[in-house]
Amino acid sequence: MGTLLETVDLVTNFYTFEGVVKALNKVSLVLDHGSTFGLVGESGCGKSVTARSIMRIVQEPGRIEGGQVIVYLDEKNRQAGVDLLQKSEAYMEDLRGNQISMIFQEPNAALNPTMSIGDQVSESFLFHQKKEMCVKILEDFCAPGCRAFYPVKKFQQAVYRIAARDPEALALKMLDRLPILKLWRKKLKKEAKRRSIEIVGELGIPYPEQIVEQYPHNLSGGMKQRIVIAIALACRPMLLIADEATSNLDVTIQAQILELLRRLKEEVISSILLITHDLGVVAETCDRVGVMYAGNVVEVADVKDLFIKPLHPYTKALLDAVPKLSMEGSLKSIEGNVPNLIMPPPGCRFHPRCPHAMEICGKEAPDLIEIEGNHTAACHLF
Amino acid sequence: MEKILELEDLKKYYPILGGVLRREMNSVKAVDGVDLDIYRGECLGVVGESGCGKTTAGKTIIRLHDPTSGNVYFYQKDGGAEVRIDIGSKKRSALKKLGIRGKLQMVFQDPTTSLDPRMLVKHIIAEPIKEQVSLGGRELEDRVVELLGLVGLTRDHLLRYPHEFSGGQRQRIAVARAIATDPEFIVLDEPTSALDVSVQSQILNLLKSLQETLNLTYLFVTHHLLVVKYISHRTAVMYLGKMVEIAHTEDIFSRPVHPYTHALLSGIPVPDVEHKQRRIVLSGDVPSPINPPYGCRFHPRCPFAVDRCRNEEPSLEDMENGHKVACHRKSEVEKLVRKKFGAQIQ
Repeated sequence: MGTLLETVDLVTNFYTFEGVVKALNKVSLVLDHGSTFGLVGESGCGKSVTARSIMRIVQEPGRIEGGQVIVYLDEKNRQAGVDLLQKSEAYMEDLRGNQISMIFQEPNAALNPTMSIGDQVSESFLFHQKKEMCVKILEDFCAPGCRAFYPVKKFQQAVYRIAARDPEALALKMLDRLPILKLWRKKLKKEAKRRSIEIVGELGIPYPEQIVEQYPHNLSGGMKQRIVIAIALACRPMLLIADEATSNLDVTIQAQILELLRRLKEEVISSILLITHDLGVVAETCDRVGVMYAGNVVEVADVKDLFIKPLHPYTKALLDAVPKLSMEGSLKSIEGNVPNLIMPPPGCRFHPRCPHAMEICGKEAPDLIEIEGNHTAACHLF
Repeated sequence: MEKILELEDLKKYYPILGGVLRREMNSVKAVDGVDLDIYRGECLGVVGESGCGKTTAGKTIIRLHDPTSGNVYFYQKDGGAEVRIDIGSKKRSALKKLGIRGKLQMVFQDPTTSLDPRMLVKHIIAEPIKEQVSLGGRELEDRVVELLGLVGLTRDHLLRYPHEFSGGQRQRIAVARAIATDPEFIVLDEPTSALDVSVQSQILNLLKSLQETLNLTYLFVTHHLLVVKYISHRTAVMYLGKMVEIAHTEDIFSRPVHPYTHALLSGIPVPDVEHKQRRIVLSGDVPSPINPPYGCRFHPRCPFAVDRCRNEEPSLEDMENGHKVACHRKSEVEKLVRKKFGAQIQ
């Protein structure tokens, strides 16, 4: 399997009034084609910031200060890696939602309450697939079965021929200024809506024709999350970043969404980056897991290795702190709290809470080193 | 075992007002006929999806809400004898006079919103004590420090505001406030769902040790089944305002009966890679509690529904040794699940 995405020493800082929050401290991850990568950690450890840095949507006062995000969109060609941090904003706009898309945590906040579901889903078609849609409409007009008033048909054909060549053409912009003639876009919107009904139906939502006419408040939480997934999947991305996609949902609805993601991964998308704090979700859906603590990746391993043989003391403590089905005795807890990232502890950031802390841990930050095949950890114990 | 609380057909409806005259058009049937006995010294877990009435039930039991109908009996220890008092119908002032208010306490979900941001920790914890007894300033402070010690905080934290604490510490303050009046019964409304995994286990262990030292009875409301398994002795499963299954926690997890319990248990993502099982994925969402389905409330989502489920509401019946289930097909569910979904948990 080839690499799809690679972050190298990613550094993101937030310049707040209280000081510089060092949210990401040289995060390096590798994501393969066709795999599900889970990123776990407590809140405030930088999971979401990593995802946002990859998409380059870190909000003010945050800034990506260093490192690389390299995407290999072509699986065969290893040389064709693109460093997203060096690219223009226009390139990123084209990439977001088209090749890499993201599902956010809160479906209520991710959906616009004043737009109908259909409009929101078709937005991404209108943004990314204008050209394909124009070509499709042009074909329909030229097909022998097309029945339309002759001069209108001629006009529409002419317009869509221009649009199929270049959707941003100057002639079209001038048409948009004229009252009746700008109705040429109606056909385009209709096509986008048809496609959105198709994708909404594909996600197992009953009566998609009625759902697309409704507004977010008409739907339940699980339905809304499905719509958010539909928007993300509209353009068949290579990589889907799911930022806590199931954490606000009920157990039975969460089971539905996880089942859906698993099915989609087999059929539609190639890779998923799943960000969650729920170790259970990771154990069930991911192939490879990265554990983050206070802005650092502390361990990366295959799911089986991580759960059976965790190496880093933090991973061990985290696994012991979760209640399990087959558990006897009392839960162990990690003493202390997650450190403040304005003044992180020197050396290894976990050492104040670590049971195995040595002298060197307070002085020197450990590097992420490979310990066994494909199992890396950042700890001075190894 | 002696009872501490007994609920008889407890109902809580929230009215929906509408029309020009703001008449009651309909009502949200949040809790719709719950019968439950809570025994002294136990921890009863209540699980269910959001909107099934778990929190409302908890609030109605300690009379933060007035019940629409039904009774809540509290067994008060009066010297040696026990007195049964209906707290659902008594006046609030009478409850306070009898000293019951202080015996029933609650810890809320999100400590950030349940603590007053403009009060010092000292005043937050002293407030309920002042309501019950009159103490001098120094005695009061000593008592507050003692309570802080019980929840793992120190005298240094007395003169701070809630925003200076982390989430876990804030929840500790909320717990200290709840145990300030020497309660016998505490409703814990999702006390760990706003916390991180590592802090969650700290709070769970704290609650467990407090229960032993102070001889408390808990009603633990949560949607997280593994937490319930860890902390509670008995578990009640709620669906749309009704209890569908009540049993000892081990029984619920090893021998679940109601199809909804089966689905809930199979839906838990288990942090164990060797644990493989077929998942029962229920179709659809929880129906609206404004117009709950006729007959068994679970029948529109139940994979095993028959005609009888659509027409007749099942009652909560005892199967054996306190394992109560409300299902028409309770004797055959096990077989049906096995047939349709393969082997189940454990």
